[in-house]
Parts: sequence; C-alpha cells; structure tokens
Amino acid sequence: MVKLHRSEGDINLSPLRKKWQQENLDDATKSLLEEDSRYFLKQSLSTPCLNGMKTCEGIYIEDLQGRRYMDFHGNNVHQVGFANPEVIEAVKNQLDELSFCTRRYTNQVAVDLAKKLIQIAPDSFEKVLLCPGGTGAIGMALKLARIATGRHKTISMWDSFHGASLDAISIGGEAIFRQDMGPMMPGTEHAPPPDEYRCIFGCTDKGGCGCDMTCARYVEYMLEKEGDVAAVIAEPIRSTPYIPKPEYWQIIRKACDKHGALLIFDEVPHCLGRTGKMFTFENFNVEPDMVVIGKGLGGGIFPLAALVVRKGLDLAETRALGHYTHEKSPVGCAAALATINYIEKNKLAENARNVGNYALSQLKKMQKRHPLIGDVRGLGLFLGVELVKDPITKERAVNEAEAVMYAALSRGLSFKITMGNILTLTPPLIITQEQMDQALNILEESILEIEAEFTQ
Amino acid sequence: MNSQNNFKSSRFASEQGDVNTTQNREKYWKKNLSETAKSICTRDNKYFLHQNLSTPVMNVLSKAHGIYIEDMEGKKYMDMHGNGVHNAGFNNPQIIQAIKDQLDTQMTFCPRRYTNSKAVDLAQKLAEITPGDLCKSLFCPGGSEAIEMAITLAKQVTGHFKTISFWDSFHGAGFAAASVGGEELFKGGMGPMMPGTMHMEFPNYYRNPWGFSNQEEVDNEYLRQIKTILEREPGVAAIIGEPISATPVVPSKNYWEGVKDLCEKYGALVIFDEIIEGFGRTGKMFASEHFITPDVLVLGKSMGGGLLPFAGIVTRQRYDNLEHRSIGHYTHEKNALCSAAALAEIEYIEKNNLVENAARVGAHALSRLNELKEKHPIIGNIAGVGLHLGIDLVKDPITKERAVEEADGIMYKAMERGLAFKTIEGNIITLRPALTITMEEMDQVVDILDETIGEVENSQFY
Repeated sequence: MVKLHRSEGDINLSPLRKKWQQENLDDATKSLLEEDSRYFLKQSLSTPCLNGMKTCEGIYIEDLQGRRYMDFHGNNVHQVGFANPEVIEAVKNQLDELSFCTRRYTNQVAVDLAKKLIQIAPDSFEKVLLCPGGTGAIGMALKLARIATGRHKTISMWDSFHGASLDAISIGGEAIFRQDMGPMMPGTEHAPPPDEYRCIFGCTDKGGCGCDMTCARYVEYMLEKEGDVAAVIAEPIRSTPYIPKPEYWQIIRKACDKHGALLIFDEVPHCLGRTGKMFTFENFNVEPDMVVIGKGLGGGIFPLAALVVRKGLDLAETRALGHYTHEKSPVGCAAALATINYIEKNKLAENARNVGNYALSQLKKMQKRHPLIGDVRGLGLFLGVELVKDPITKERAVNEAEAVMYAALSRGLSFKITMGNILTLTPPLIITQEQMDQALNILEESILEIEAEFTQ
Repeated sequence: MNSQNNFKSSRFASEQGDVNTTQNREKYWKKNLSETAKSICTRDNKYFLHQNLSTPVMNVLSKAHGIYIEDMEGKKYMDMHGNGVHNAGFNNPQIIQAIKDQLDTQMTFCPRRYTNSKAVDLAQKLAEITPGDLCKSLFCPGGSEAIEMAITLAKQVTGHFKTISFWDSFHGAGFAAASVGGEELFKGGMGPMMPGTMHMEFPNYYRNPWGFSNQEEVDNEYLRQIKTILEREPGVAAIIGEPISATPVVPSKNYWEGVKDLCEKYGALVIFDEIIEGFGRTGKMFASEHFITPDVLVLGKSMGGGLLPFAGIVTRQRYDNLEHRSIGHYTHEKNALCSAAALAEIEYIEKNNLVENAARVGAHALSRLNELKEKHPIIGNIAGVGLHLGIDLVKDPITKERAVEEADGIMYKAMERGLAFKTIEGNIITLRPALTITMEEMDQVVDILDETIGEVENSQFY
C-alpha cells in the first residue's frame, strides 16, 4: 500500500469514508459516484468523490438527496456565499453584452475591475494582470520577479500550497505534489514555516519568553547565504491556520529589502475579506511587492485570479508574462466586480472579523471542556481546531479528526481537515452569529460523540 | 528593446503572434481609434501590466458574435483568430442559454470533494467522442494547466521525467508548459526552466534544413533524430506536440505512426495538444483522427464554449492508477457551469455539422488560396487542413526569406477592411475562423487577402 499523504486535506480512500457513504447515500447517488469514477481519472482529494451535489446557495451546499450542509470549506471560493444572486445577475447581464474578449483587445468591464483592484489595494499598488487560476497567477508573479531582479532563486515555506503546476509545486512544500515528480524547478529553496504550537526550532519548548523569531531570522540567513534570491514567496497566514506575529513579516520584509529580494504574498485562499481585511497582509502592517489573489475573486462561479503589483514593477512589456486566453474575460471581470461590490456594500470584511472573533472565543471555551482539542487559532473567518491525543506530546489525533468530520457531516456541517488532525473552518463571510453558533454546537456534539467512542 | 521597430530581428519576438509595439500599430491607432476607444485604452494601459501580445492592446471590443468581433464604433471584423475559442462562433446563443439555465439551477460551484451530474455527463461525452480507447478525463480551468496535468501523468506512470517537444510550439504560459514550448518569447531572460525538456524541429516540408521536398525523406530524417535522442537520453516520459503545427504544417500519417512506434519501444507516452485543433477545427472532431490515437489528449479553448475558461485531458483506462497522487489539484475541477458550456458547445457542433462544414469550407479556401499563390509571387506556400490554414509570405521564392514587413502591412490593411487575423513567426498569415463560417463569407476573406496582398506587392505599404 502506498503511503497516503494527509497534508492538504482529508483523504478519499479511508474506511471511514466508505462507512459514511454506505450509511448515508442512496442508490441514485451511488450510481452517479460510480459513473464519476468510471469517466474521471482518480486522484487524491477529488475522484472518487464523497457525494453528489445538486445545488449550492448562501452558506449551504445540498446533496442529491436534498440534505443541506453548512459549508465551512467551499474550496474557499465562497466569500459572498454560493450562487450569490447579485453575482449571477451581473454574469447574466454581461452574457447579454460581450461574453469574450480576444487578447489583442480590451473591454470596459476588464478595465473597471483593474481600476477597482487598485483602488482597494494600498496606495503603493499600481498594476494588475488577470488569468483564470491562482496557479497561473503564481507563475506570473514568479516570472515577473525573475525579470525584475534578473535572478531566479526563490525562498518559500515547507507545508505551503501555491497551486498544482510544476512551478507552483516547486515552491510549494507538500510531498503529495512533489514526490516522484522528477526534478523540481531549479533554485527553489524552502524554509520551515512559523508555528508556535509545533515549532521545529523548539523555541516554545525552551521556556522563557517562548517564540524568539528564529524562523524569521532563518529566512534572513538563507537570503544572505544564497546572495541572489529573486523573491520570498509565502502565504501571509498558513492554511493550518497559523497566524504569524506581525514582527515575523516585518523582519522578513526588512531582510528582503536588504538583500534585494521581492516579497510575494499568496492570498488566493483568504483574500477579499476573509481575515477581516480586504488583503490579508493588512493585518501585519507590512506591504509585499506583489500579491496574488484568486478563488473567491470570481464570485464563487467563474475561475479568475489576479496578480497585483506595486509601482515600479511594470517591466515586462516585451515578454509574455501571462499569456492566458481568458486574460480580460468580460464575464469573469463582471463576476469579480459584483463580488467586490457585494463585499463592500454588505461590510463582509467587518462581519468576518466580528463573527470570527466571536467564534474564536467560543472555540477557546470549547477547548477547556475537551482534552481532544490541543489548540484553537485563526484570524477572521479562517479558523482551525487542532485535535491531539495528548496535550503534552501533542500527538496528532488523526483518526479522531476524521471521525469528527464524518460525525459533523451527518449533522449538516462540512469542513476540511488539514495535516490529518486540524479541522479548518472557513465559512462564507455572509454567515451570521446565530448560524455560527449552530455550527459550533454541531462541532461540539460531534467532538463529544467521538471522545466517548475513543475512550471506550 | 531597440528591436521593437526592427522587423529583420523580430522573428523571435513575433513567433507567437503580431507584436504590439510596432510603428504600424501606432499608425493604426492614430487612423482608427475613436476618442472613446482611446480613453479606454489609456486606462487599460494605466491599470494592467504591459506584456507582449496583450496590453497595450489594439482596440476595444464592445461585442463578439458569430464569426465577428465588433469595436466601440460598431465596426465589425471577421475574426480569423479568436484566440481559438470560437469554434461554435462567439456568443453562441444556445451556449449562452445553457449557461444561464445552469446558473438558475444554483449548481454554480462544486467543491472538489463532490461531483455533479453535468461534469459526469461531459466526461462521458468526451469518452464517447474522443478517438480510440481514450476514456478517462480530468478537468481544469486552462490549457496551460491541462498540459501540466498530462506531463505529470506521464512522469508518474513512466517513472521518467524528461520530455521531447518541438521548437516554435506553444503549449501554455506556465513554467512547465513554457519549458516544453519552443518559443523564445516565453523563455528569454527567464533563467532556468523545467529540467529535462529537450526540443527538436517539427517536420516541415516547405522549410527544412536539408532542402528536401520529398515527404518521406523529410519524415525519415526527423524520425531518425527522435530515435537518436531516445537512445542517448534514456528516461523520456513523453513526446508532446500539436498533431498539426500552428503555422500550420500537416505532417504525414507515417510521421506520427513512426513517433508512436518509437515511443512504445522506449517507454514514453505520446501527448497531443489539441487545445486549438480539437472540436472540429481540422475537419475531424479531433485532429488526432488524421493520424494516431495519442496516450493523452489535451483539450481547451473552445471547450469552454467560447466564453468560460475550461480545459482538460482524456487518457486511457490503464493510466488511471494515480489515486494516491494529486495530478490536477484545481479549484474548479468539476465546475458545473463550464461543463454545461462544454456540453452545449459539443451539441451545437454535432447538430450543425460544423466538423463537415470545416472540412468543406476549408477545402474550398485551400483551393482558392492556391489560386492566389499562382497570382502573387509573395505567397511562398499555402498549408493546412479544415479551417486551420496558413499563408507563408516570402521575399523570394527560392531563398524563402520571410516577408515580415509585408505580412505586418497586410494585417493592418485587412483590419481596416474588416478582416482580423494573426501572423505567426512574423511572416505567416494564419486563418482560423469560427467553424460556422459560410462559403460566401470565406470567399470575402480570400478576396480581401487578394486585394491587400496585391497592394503590398505593388509597394503600397501600410
């Protein structure tokens, strides 16, 4: 049996999943899943699938049997909720106007979106480039960094995810993508990510004042030893989720400036309000040279991502930086504009901050009641609950986490597991405090059930 | 930078398409852009990163429908380029309706843990219409990513990592796709690319280094080179190519059969990139049908119905053994909206016999273009099949020196007469209209070309 990696999400080949499917799926769904497996290539995290979907709306997804689940995963496309009526309206209107724009031409709505992105970004940002996916946008950022610096090396983080293409998996830090793939892109160095709960440098175990920013200084050390690094590229908050201290990014920002490297932030999964700010980096009092956004940018409907860069980086006019067919898609841009307008009009960033703070405080209380919960953390509506077998050794409670996930699913709450034992909670930003309470109740009931099961 | 206005050295800058920084471009802007269009272009330049082949752009579009694109002043252009998305025509009403209907079902996004019936229907349809025993699909938003999925699959199933692909080819803009691609534009100044990507020439019966004119001799020479690489560089995972090159050169069936035999012997897969050529373009539903069934077929562009980003790979049952790996970890993997568009596109192509239309109108165009060749000495060669056509312009029929300046002039002159196309490698006019084009419309296209070529031949440059 080949080793199954649990870094990116819950695995799709476990006995627990089979059991859940046997108990919950009817014949019609089973037959769709069979057909799905017949015609699609199997791979981790998708086919064979968990279930068949009929619709999605607001904070809910609905399966073929009519069961609704609050979706605290949503592949992070659902800032404004699924099937948002204002986004759908904008898409339909655009379909009646101009549905595609060849790359030699521009169109009004694409220009409007670019302008909007520059308006919502801090003043230092000036230029935009669009493409259909986050992976492609990361590639555009890497290319621009090479052209701007004349260097090719990068420093990125172990455990990070930046996309599925070769350049993205080369800077990414997960075996599930990198193993048996032959040589990666040259010059992609990796640093251990910040993590106070499981610090690889052991700072937190040394007693005294705890975290002493060794991990940030390690990045500076690498920049110095390599000498010609083009860029440090990282997610400003980790998907585990670990929220670094602002000093962490401030140290790295300074080190990048000192060594002539650019700082690129990948905000694909948490941009546009999830962390309580339009851009995640605004939480750290640090500005990157480039930021990549995606996923929810397309309103949860249209594949769209963007590279947004500061002044002085529009340097590649003779090169093909992002040669993508749907570069200035009028429909995609209409969806994105409607999404940003919806977020602003309904103050979703503020809602994310408020409901997120509330949820975090409730989860901290929950932690005191359940020894299975080793740590809770997060920022805005990007939350994580780390389950451990033992609070001292912090041994990952992998089987328990998976069991909790299926128990919650049966009660109408869907979320993703990362690293095998961390429940990640990323609901749509339109969620109310009452709905959050409902979800947290389901979570606690499920944890109770599994604690009882595992202590027997 | 100083090569921008120098046509003699611009062969590499313009291999993918006409460059957007020439003097002709500036003249075209001055002559043709209204104040409204200029003001949008100014803002476009202000907010978008500049790059070759897009910003700064040629003009502003207000509409695109059928075989036409339309600018802000309502001027229509027959679009022979369309970035390859317009097989069923731009803004196809039946595809738009299918997308709107799908939006109304609220099945607008499918998290990757789940499936949905539209996505499964599309995968089943592709298993039915793709050649041979191709039957297993994987989707993603763009062709560039789909190429990477194909390479990843080849690496994982062969245990090898090297690739052989073709100079001058384009497979996408991502690092791996650009590495297997063969264009300077995507690699120059970029530093190290993906390791293990080896390149060779695509067969060329008009321009080959030996001066052969006999197909078989040309094929044999290229096959001998591939064999040499496979022998000396063990560990090739795949040979990746477009079945027909973009210029286009249509290789012989013998050539691709020879490649496939060599691949089987040395344990490499054959990957066909039909992002442009699939879905009827060449007068067959898939260009592979002219030659061989590849191990992996890569699709894109028109697959999204001409308006949604959508692409994918289709491969054989026996390669469906990577359930422990992530070969295509893309958010919009089983996007129901894109699947609805793709199904509507295929249905439209089938119902309206667009494959046959492409074959018929293409054959007619080819014969008319060959007539033009007799008339205009600047036309060195006519090539293509179906609605995938190319006109190679030369300064001299013997030396075959590329007529780059002339091609650029013809392009802008044709544009002013309502005909848009793209030039490749500086001197090759490529014609890839919507497959809905009629015989009469194609005649108009050829007439405009006849006029504009004639004018440039008589030194009336743009």
